[in-house]
Parts: sequence; C-alpha cells; structure tokens
Amino acid sequence: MTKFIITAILLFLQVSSLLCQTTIKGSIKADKNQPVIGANIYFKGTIEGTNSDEQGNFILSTDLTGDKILVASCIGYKTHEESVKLQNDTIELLISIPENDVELKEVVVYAGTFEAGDKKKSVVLNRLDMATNPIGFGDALSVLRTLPGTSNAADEGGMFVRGGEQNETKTFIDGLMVESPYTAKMPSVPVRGRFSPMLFRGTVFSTGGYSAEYGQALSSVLILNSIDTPEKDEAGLSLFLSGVNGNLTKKWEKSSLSASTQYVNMSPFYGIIKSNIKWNHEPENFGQMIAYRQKVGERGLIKILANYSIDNSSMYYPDLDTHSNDLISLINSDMFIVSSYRGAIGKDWIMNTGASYNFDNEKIKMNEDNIETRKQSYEFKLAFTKPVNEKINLKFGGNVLNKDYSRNYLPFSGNSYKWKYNSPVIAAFIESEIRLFKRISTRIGGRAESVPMSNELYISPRFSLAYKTSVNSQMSLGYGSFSEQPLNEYLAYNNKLKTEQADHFIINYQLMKESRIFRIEAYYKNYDRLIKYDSLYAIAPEAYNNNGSGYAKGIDLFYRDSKSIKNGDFWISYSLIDSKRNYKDYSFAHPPFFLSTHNLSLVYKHYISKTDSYISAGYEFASGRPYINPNISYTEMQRTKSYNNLSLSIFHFTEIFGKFTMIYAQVTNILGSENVFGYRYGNHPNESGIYESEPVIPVSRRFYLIGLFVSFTGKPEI
Amino acid sequence: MKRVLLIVFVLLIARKTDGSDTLYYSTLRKSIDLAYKDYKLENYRQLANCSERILLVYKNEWLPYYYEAYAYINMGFIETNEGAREMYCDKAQNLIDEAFKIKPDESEIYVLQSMLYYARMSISPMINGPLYLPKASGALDDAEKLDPGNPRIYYLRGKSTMNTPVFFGGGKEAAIPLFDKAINVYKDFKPKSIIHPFWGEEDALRLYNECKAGGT
Repeated sequence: MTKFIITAILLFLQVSSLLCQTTIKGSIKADKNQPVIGANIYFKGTIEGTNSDEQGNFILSTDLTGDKILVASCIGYKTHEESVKLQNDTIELLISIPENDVELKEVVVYAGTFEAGDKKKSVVLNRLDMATNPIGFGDALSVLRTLPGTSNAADEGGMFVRGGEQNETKTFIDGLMVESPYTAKMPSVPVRGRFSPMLFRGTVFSTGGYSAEYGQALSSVLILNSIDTPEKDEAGLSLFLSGVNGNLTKKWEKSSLSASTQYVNMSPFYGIIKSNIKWNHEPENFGQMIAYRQKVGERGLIKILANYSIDNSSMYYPDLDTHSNDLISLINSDMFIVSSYRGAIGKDWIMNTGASYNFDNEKIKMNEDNIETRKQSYEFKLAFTKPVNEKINLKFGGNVLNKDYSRNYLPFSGNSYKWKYNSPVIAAFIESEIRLFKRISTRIGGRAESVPMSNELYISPRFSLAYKTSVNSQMSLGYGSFSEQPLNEYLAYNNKLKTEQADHFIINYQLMKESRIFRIEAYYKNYDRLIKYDSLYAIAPEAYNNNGSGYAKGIDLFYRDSKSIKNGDFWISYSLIDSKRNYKDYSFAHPPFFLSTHNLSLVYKHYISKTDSYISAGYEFASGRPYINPNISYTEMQRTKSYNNLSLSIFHFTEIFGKFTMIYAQVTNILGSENVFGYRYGNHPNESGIYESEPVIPVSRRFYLIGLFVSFTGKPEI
Repeated sequence: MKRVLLIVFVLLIARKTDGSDTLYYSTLRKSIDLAYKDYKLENYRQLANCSERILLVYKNEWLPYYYEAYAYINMGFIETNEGAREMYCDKAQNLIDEAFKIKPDESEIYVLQSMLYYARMSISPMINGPLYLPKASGALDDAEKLDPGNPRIYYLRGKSTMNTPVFFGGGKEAAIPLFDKAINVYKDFKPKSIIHPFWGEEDALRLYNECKAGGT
C-alpha cells in the first residue's frame, strides 16, 4: 500500500513537473568550433545543472521559472554567463566560450631568463638537478654552467655570461645582493660558490635583459630565493673523502630553525691524487650556516639566513722570471647575514623588505709581504607589488647599498700603502607587467641609480615583450640598459671612476611540450666605459680610466627532454659567441682570454629503479681559448687546444642500520684529457730572448669524490 | 526523465527529513556513486562539476571542495595529456587550499593533499618524484597525527610502498602489513555521514591480495 502511494505521488509529481518544465537544449563550442567536453552547465545560485557530452551538447531540464542566469564553465576556458527566461518551453542555445587566457598568462617567460626550482612550469632545472650535478666539482651552483650563454672558464670558477667577466654576474639572496658569493681567488685555483643550492627553493638565472628590480650587474643576475619553511624535522650527516658536514632542522608550528656545519680539508686527497700545484698548506675550509623562519600573521614570513666561512690555503707558485717559487698564503673569512620580510598589506598589496650585512676579510701573504683586504657592505631594500587590475601589475621600490673597502699593503721592507673608499649606491625602480592583448604581454620599467662618489645619476630603462604563439610556444624580445660600479680594486686606486655600462638586445623563441623544452636565443650586447689601465701593477689614480669598450653577440641553444627515454633525462646546451673587448691592459680590441667561441654541454641522467640509483653524466666541450704569445707577436691571438671533460656521478639510495643513506661517487675527466686554459709568460725575456711560459692547467687532472649521506629522520626532501 | 524522477524523489525525501543540507547530501552522494561505478574520466568530471555547483551555494562546507579536488586528482591520474594533468593538479591544489581554510585540522584533507602529490609525481616521475615523495609522505604523517583512525592513510602508504623499489625498503612484501593495517582500520571505520569520505576499502583488499600473491 505504502509502495503504491509513493509511486502514485511520484507519478503525480513527475507529471506535474513535466507540465511546468523548461528544457534547455544547447551545445557549447570553443574558439575554433571545437566542442567543449564536460562543461558544467547550471543555473547560478542553484545546484541544478548538467555536463556537456563528447560533442559539446547538453540538455538541462528544470522546474525553475522566471529570469535566471545560465552559467557554462569548464576548466581551461573562460566562464560564460547568459540570462535565460524560463517559461515552460524549450530553449535552444549555442554557447561559444573562449579559451582561458589565465593559462596563457601563467607561462610567460621573458627573454634571457632561466628558472630553476620546484615550481612546475617554466622550470628548466630542478633542485634534484643541482643535487646530482655531475660537473663542477665542489661547487654546487655550477650546474648553471650547463646552461647556454655561459662560458666554460673552469680555471676561474664562477659564472661568465655572454662575454661578461665573473663580476658582471651578481648574486641575490632573498632580493639582496651578495657581495662575495664566491671564495677568494688563488692563482690557478677556481673559486667556488659559498652557498649550498639546497638552501634555495627557486633560482632565476638571467643571462641578460633582467628586471629593473635589480642593478649593479652588467651581464647577468642570479636570483636565489631561500626555502620558506622546511617540510619536516631533519637530521643528517655527510661524510666524504675530504670532509664532513652535519645538518639539523627543527620545525615548530610557526617557525623553524636549521643549522649546518661543514669542515673540509683537502690534505688527505692531495696525499693520494697528484696535484699540479705545490701546496704548502692544502685548502682547508670551515663553514657554518644558520637559517631561521618565522610566520607572522596570516601571510607574513620573516626569513633570516646567516653564513660564515673561513678558508685557508698556501702554495708555492713558480715565478717564471727568477725560476724560484713564491710562497702565497691566503686566509679568507666571510660572513653574510640576510633577513627579509614578505607580507601582505590590506587586500592586494604585497610588501618585500630586507636588510643584509656582508663582511669579508682576505689576508694574503706573498713571501714576506702582506696584503690585507677588508670589505664591508650593508643593504636595505623595500619593494611593493600591487595588481592594478586584471591586466596590469605594478612593482616599485628602492634600495641603498653601502660598500666600505680598504686594502693595506705591508711589505717586508719599505713603505706601506693603504687604499680605501666608501661608496653608497642609492636606487629606485618601477616596473609594470601589462597584458596588452590576450597573447601579448610586456614588462616595462626603469631603474634610477645615484652614485655620489663618482657624482653620477642615471636612469636605466628595461623592456621585455612576450608573445604566446601557441599554448606551448612563445617568442620574446628584451632590451635593457645596465650599469655597474667598477671593481673594488680599481675604485680603491681611483674613486672618481664612472660606472661601466652595457646595453642588451635579445630575441628568443621557446617551445615547451610534454616534458620537452627547446629554446633558441640570439643577442647583441654593447659595452661602454669599461675600465682600462696601463698595467696590472699600476697604482696611480691617473693610470685608470673609463675608456674601454666592447661588444658580444651570439646564439644560445637549449634542449631538454625527460620524455623520450624511459627513466632517462637529458639536456644539451650550445652557445656560439663572438666578442671583442678593449679593456683592462689590452693593447687592442680582441676576444677576452676567458672566452671560447663554441661551448657545448650535455648532461644525461638515468634512474635505475632496480638498484635505486641515479647515474648522471656530464660532458663539456669548449673550443680553444685565446691567448697572446709574446714570443710570436703582441698583436696576434693564439688559441689553445679545445677543452673536453666527461664526468660521471653515481648516487645510490639504500639503508644503513635502518637509516636512509645515500652513497655517492663522482669522477671528473674520465677520458683524461689534458686540458689547457691558457699560458702565462714571464715579465721579461730570458738570456736567449725568450719569454718563459707555463700552461694554465687544472689543479688536478682528475677529481674524485666518494661520500655518504645518512639521514636520521627518513628520506630528506631533495 | 530518470533525472526528473530522481530529483523529485530527492525533493520528497528532503521535505520529509531535515532541510536543505540533506538535499545536497543526496545529490552529491548520487554523483559520488556514479563516479565509483567505473574509473572513467567523464564519471569524475561529472563529480567535479556537481561538487562545484554545490560549493558555489554551500560556501562554508568543506566536503564539496574535498570532492571536487578528489575528482580532479583522479582525472589527473586518468588523463594522458600532460598539460591537462598539470591543470587538473593545479585546480585540485586550489580547492584543497580552500578546504583547509574551512577545516584546517581535517585528516581527510591531508590524505587528499598527499594523493595530489602522488598525482604530480606520476606526471613526470624523473623530475617530480624526488620533489614530491617526501611531501606526500609528510602529508600522510600529518593526517595520522590528526586522526589515526583514518584508514585511507594506511591504504595510501601501502600503495606507495608497493610501488617503491624493493631496494629502497619498498615492494609488495613490505606493503602487506600496511594493507593489513588499512583493512583492519577500514573494518572499524564508520563515515560520519553518507558523503563523508569512505573510499579505498575495496582497493585496499584487492592490492592486499595482489601483494599476497607475490611476483613482481
């Protein structure tokens, strides 16, 4: 009986609802008449709705009456709204919705930029790539040298970008400049980066045309953003052939503290492996890093990072004129502290502010003479970001950077000298990202800098334009004017020297699809007001001037593919560059000594799931480097033979006493190539009228690294 | 026709019991059941759409956000186009963020977050694996802290262990106790309502048997 009643009621309701029902029959298409599958079609403010089928068709019947708004939405498309009058009849609708440009917007990459980190899009390298970097021994950030636009100057270390010197690339951590990102230089020994890439969640490496937010770099900026908050508590210990490293991370609800301590001593290593340098004291390093994070309010975050390191080494360096050895010793201590705050003000303003302090002391002893160099700098920065509307985003701010530099020369006998200077640089910038059209977006801005010491005030315009040629590809253009104060040493001798200048013109095309990235970039760079001096040993102020100039032009190619080979992943970079400079003590314009015309690098990584190991191999090729042989001619460039390096790393994951363990081994220059970076010559010819020479070669023909990392808290985040 | 009938039926029930919430409960449950019928893209798409319609009306409820995210994560697993998979994962992450805002200490949302990390990993295991694996297991640890009686934690752990190489402490053998635990917890688990998460039990049993059968 009950059953019957229910059925009766149901039938009645069914009939009655049929009597007063509106049916909407429609189809939904996108731009190019493509059916939109699975769109959500519903009446606004109700939960009544349906989905479009494989042909984009839908039928929606309703008991509602009157004026309603029909919404059609689908992920990846713009949401469509339309008023409908429901009056118990059948409505036919043809809805056409455009593709969502948010999707196009997200992937805009401006010319000259490489991103690395853990964001999924537009990222060229990820953190694992840095951790498993097969090349660049003991210098983790050197993985960036496998990107195009960089020159392989393995004797110098650091980054040489598009014909620019090492100092033309500036490193920024959490928005603030790092005055001495690399260890101090000893003859023939490449410098190394002071910071572990594991500290950073994202890296932006610009090979030119970078944002107006940054300045004081003629060629390139490397922007490192430290990790916001660690994922979990961690404790790990790393033991390797020449050192030990321990790290601890403790996480609380709103804050976290990490510390890492490292000690490296190369003496046992050079006891086994032949070194091309005659050491008096093999390189020794101690480093301490502390990072603190504190969440403030709902979206605010304070980050403090402090890094201290001390390096000590001493070597016998042959003097080609006297045939004796100079004893050169170096003690370098360096401290960098950066604190930054990021938070929201009101609804849509974002504030970024920070302060940093850098102290660097370099004590060099050459035989009985002492040279002590002290650098101190601090910086304050404040920047605001605000979306003006859907299409315009505005960023502006300013910073003050003050540098204090002194160099004392205390010879064993005779007069001592002291050079010093103090120079603030005050800067303000404004930059706006504007979406001009659906597929075109531009970044336009400028930076004003004032340098009281040299009495300068200048404005550097920056401009980029990106055009999305399709969802997967884009073209971009970049232009910018860049300025940089001359090197500390030069300014110490002559503090009236003007800033050096460069202009960049870049054109770029990028295609990204299914874990494959291809990009090609061409550029032209013009240098002006570069520092020239009479000789390397000149100390008189008038020996230094701004009369240098130069240019660089070239093509960079990059291809990465983590799809074609199962469990395999590789990238290839090739750079072709033509550059000439007349600067320093050059007597005519010629390619700088660090520059190879062709640079090629190939990195291949393979994951072997059976044994849970990573194998990564890196191959670097650079065509011969230019040098001048005074025995042949002072005006004719010679070329060294080309550089080859095949390196291999193996990482194996396992467990020791139930703890996650990573065992790794690395070896460079497997093929045993005898690489020569250039030649150095005596200052005077010998009795037979010949300048004696010596090739500049790697510290060791091969390097080996064997180590293990144990985590006491489970597998760490890489 | 059928749809109308169902709506009417639902309306009837709704009037009989306790108001509007129940209305969305049964609509959502119907959609959930449809999704579970067959592991197909369109089944999850309709769940995503249905959940979205509900969450636009019932803004303070976490379950519609949960199910829309859950639907997009599954679509992320089913879909083959990489761009679409990333888009689904991004969308799911936004929804999870919203769900957390409504109910920050809900174990089930942490489970879902973990599942999303697995989805991201599956897009490009070489690149995303080492990045998301610790995050995925971290989210499960958080979920366990909030509610150790949530069986989906152990089910997902088992599944992850099963797919991890033997050498690294994974494999079928190692996954057995985890699935065993999951099955036991499922036995005692009672969802709080007809739409509170209840998925995973059958899969846990199936994978448990698969592990027991051994092989590679």
